Amino acid sequence: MNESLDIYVSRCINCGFCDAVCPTLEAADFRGYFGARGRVNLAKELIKNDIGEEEVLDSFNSCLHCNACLYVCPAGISAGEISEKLKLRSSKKDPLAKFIAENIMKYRDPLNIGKGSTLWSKGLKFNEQSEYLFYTARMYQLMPYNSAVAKMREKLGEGLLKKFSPTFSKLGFKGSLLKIFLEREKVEEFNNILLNIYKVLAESGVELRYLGEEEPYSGAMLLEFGFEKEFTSYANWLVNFFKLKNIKKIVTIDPHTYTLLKYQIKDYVNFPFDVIFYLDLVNKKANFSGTVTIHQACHLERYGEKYRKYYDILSDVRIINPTHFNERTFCCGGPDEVLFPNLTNKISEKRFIELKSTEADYIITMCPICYINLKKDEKVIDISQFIAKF
Amino acid sequence: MDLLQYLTVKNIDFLSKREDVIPYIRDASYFTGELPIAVVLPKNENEISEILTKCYEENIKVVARGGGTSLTGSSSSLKGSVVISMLRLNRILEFSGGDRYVHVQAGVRIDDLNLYLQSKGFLYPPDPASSLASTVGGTISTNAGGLRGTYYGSTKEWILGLGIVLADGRIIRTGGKILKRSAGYDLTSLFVGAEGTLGIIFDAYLKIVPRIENFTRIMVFFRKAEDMGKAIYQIKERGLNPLSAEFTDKISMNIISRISGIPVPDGSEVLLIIDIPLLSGNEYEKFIQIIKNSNPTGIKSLNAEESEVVYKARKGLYSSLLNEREREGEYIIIGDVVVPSSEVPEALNETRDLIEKFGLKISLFGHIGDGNIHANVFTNINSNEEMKKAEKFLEEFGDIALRHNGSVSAEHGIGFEKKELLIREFIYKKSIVNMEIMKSIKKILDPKNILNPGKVFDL
Repeated sequence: MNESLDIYVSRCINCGFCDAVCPTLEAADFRGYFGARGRVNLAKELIKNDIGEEEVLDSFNSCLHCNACLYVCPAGISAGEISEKLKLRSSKKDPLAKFIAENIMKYRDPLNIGKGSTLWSKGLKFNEQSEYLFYTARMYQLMPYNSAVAKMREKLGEGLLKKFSPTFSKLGFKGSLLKIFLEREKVEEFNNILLNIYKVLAESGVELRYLGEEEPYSGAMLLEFGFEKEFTSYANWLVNFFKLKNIKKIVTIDPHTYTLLKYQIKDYVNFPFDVIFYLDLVNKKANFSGTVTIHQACHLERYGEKYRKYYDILSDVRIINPTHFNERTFCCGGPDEVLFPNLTNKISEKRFIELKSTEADYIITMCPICYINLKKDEKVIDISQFIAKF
Repeated sequence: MDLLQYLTVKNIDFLSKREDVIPYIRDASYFTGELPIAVVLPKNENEISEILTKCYEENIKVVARGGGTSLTGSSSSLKGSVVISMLRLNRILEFSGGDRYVHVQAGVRIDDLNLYLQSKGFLYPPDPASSLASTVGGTISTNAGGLRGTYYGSTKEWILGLGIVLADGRIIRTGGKILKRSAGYDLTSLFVGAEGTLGIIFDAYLKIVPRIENFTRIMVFFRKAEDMGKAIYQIKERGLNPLSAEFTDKISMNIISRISGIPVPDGSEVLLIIDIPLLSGNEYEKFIQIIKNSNPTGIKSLNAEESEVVYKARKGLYSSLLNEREREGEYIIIGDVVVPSSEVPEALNETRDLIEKFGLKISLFGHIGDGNIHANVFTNINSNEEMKKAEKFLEEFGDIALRHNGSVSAEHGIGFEKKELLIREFIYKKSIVNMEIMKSIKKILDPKNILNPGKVFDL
């Protein structure tokens, strides 16, 4: 956005194309408040001070930032970007979001999972001298813990969870009730994916450096939940941290961290590092005689360049496209998991059915958030698992 | 019991908080509606019937809303009204390729319908530029057209039957799954283009056709609009039917050239994009022969990749023009008239003179195969002076259409925007009694004037 928010918003012609592709609108049973056009119209009123911040907070918070609206907007406007800016501007924050933000600032980790972030790397060989920093940003590791939060929300109900959020923040994940809801099998499943990512890179001859317990989270959720001041401070800290560690090239392994460090962070801080998505370093071609369908991550398709290196890796495999693919890929609903789990469930269910209806042998994902939300049967496989297997 | 209590008792979902109803006050026109008392989200026709029964009793205005894509204000909300959002009625109920129909609920979006039909090898032809967002019910209510109109006609040609809730809550059905019917008045047609003023359409039987997959797309450049108009007329005169025939003026032609990378031949002022169906073998040669004899400055036959890029550029022309806006508050108001093909050349000449006279920034494009011309007027909607000038231009643009035996509205309906133009058209045709007939019909079907009042005409 290169202009002021009010001018940006005023370019909207209210054609409604954004609503037609907005995943949250249908998931919210067509309540316009939860649709992209609704968000833009509420932004217009908020800018004029004709409505209060509290009334519109859920509308902006529920935006998935999947950018589907930007792709179809005749005026080139993103309801996601408007939501993000207004969240950043707003002084009202969701209590659960506050809990997560405080954790990030305090522990460099949204849920303070501690050693849980390094279990996957036990016994693996890393090279301290390698030019490539293997940066997990703890994303794959965090997924089972996010699910635990969602489960606890389900058990306690919205009100109690928000009430106890400050206590969780003090106690961290381990000391709180949260750990009761953690599924060990899920932890192992995600650790196994990390192992596969490591393996495919090793097989491609890439030596990696890993920071182990010192590895910090990227800060993405601070932006997502509207903590701009905190994010700016965190981003500065992150840059200094990488500089102190003498990092030059950062190999990211999930789309959210990749696009944050490659594009979004530059609005807040000078980020003088090469940011790479790990598939760029994979020189293997998958060899599989069956069929696959690909769930393309919104962040790889609609943020910055269209990232499609996986097509090279899968060039010998028969791909069956789902109804929504490439620029029109449909969000898994994951970014709403913490604050609006009901929306996430409906969106992921819809997308899963669409992918499943291709009748492909495998449904390939390439993002931990997509994976956990779409993993509704054995056909769903992370691309690293697929490459390692075939 | 007030309306909201009634809806609660009846277990009908509704929204009434300010933040919940704001998203429903605007459509794609430049009109901003006023806050409704509630937005109702019915799941079926029985709920619509219950809502209307109560609104009829209480004299509450009702605005039906599909995708909210109207360009003339048909779906913008009214003060103190109830907005009925039709988006939850989004199921495809029945398909029969053999009987050539599909039965759908009114809230199904046009692109979603065609995505479904594509998998069966069929097509529902109406394709307004808003097809991504517009719904079956909304496009029936405005008798929408689109790029394929020259070959297939507009929406009215494709409606076999309707399910409608009347103003007092009664549910009726017209037509059905049959392709022909000669039993009494054609009530189905009565509701096509009625813009929600006579009843609320909740489902429809739509006629479908097998998709024509084999066609070729060409770009033809001309020095004069007149030559292009003559070419189209001759093509049709010789019994040939283009699948679509789109024209653009120089501003829009340059945009398409920039997007596609296809250069504009020197001296070109007008672009024609034609889709030629390849059905019996020698259509292409027949089309090309006529075009070659029409003084083109260049002809470019497109390969599959170019064809796709040019189609997207044409369908996205309005978007591209929006990006040409230079001032804060600038909007594009789309004029929409139609004339017979034989009158296109002269109508275009007069429109060019009119643009010069007004000195406004205007780009022309349209579905020239069926004589539909769009004038895209760049206007600051916050300036009374500019708005008046734009409205005056559109009035005279409408007059051009009338002088050439056309109409002031080809495919966008009347809404708030064209009420005066509609009267003008009836006067011009020396048939102002049409207005009296329309008002009489309205009074029979909606005696309390609760359905979308103030749209199409004032009672």
